[in-house]
Amino acid sequence: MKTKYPRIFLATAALSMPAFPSAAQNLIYVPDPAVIDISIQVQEIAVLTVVDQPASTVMDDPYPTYIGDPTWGGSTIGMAKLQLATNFCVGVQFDFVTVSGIRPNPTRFYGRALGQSSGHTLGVQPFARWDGGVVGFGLPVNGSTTDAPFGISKGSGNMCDGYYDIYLGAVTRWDMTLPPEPLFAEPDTYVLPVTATIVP
Amino acid sequence: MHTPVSRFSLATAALALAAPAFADPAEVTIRVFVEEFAVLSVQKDQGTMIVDSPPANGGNFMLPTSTQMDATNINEPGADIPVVRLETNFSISSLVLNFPRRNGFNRGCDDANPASTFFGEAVLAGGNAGNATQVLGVWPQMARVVNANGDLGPRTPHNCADSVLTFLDGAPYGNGRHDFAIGVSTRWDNTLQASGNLFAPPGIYEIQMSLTIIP
Repeated sequence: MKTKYPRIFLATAALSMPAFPSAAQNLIYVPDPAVIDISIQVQEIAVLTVVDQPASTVMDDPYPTYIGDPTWGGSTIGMAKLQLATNFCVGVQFDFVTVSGIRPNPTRFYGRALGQSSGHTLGVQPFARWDGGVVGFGLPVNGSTTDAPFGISKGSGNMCDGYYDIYLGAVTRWDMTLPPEPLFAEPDTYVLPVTATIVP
Repeated sequence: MHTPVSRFSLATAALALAAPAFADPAEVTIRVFVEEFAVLSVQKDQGTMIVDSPPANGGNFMLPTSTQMDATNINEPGADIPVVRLETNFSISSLVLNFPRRNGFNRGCDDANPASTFFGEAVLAGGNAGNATQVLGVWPQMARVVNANGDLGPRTPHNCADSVLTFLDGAPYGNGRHDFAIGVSTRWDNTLQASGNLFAPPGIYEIQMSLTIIP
């Protein structure tokens, strides 16, 4: 049978004990505030993305045929479009296979577009446009006095932090052909691959 | 919690990756579709001949004939022959020369039956074709310029019918540049029967002709 006495005794005994036994004190630790350093090193980053391509046009007359307009602010219809995203100042250069000996300026350099059926050559002169200006591979039809690549220099392009749209076009003419191949470009599709590279 | 040791290791990693980061080069294609096309351009838009005597050998010719060599070369001094240049990047089968023409002249390809002959209708300068006295019959013809010296190939005369002159000498004309000379022959007595004139009144007679590419 139970009585109330033993129960009161137990309560008294509990009150007389320390608040925290010594063994429990060793398990509780309140440190200083935690400090964490997160370090992010942002590097120089530049990315060139192809937005629209190819640059293409139809040649159906004997006059110079343009893909786009080499005049700043002119039409960009038919031009390939690249987008540069960069966080530091860069240039962009364009490289492609070139050829000399082209009529009508055999001493100059031209981009070598190849006929997909005939394998014959059509001289092509690429040019690039961006908000800051226009740069071309020589004057239209006349060819270039220097070989490829050509491009937008880091200094002149003023392409620093931001997004930049770059349009790539070209000019050619039906008599910009390579002897002894036919005088006029035969009906065909002529292709010139161009590699665009960021130049720090 | 971080320690000085771990902070040092992060700095080392950053230095190792400090070079600029680029994507791969972008590849773009420039593509030009060249269609079939051909162009005629006038190198010399006028020709002149002077009829100052009765014809010695069948007529006065601007272009060479086997009997009369008024001009054998378009570059010769005195040669005054219109020249048209064909430039093409595909094969052209022929050219067609068209001109105003009519019959009823006093002469003909077949003089026994001149009424059946259609000649080109050259009209007195400032006059009109409706006035029979102001018309001189001319016989159109074409020849190829066969070399850089301007020498002419065989002459192709009009067939004297009511039709265009179809020129085929040397055809088909392939990729490249081709020059053609155009002229006429005539006589002072190649007048219209309806004019009542036996001989053409002195004056300058003109005829305009057009050349067309036939693919």
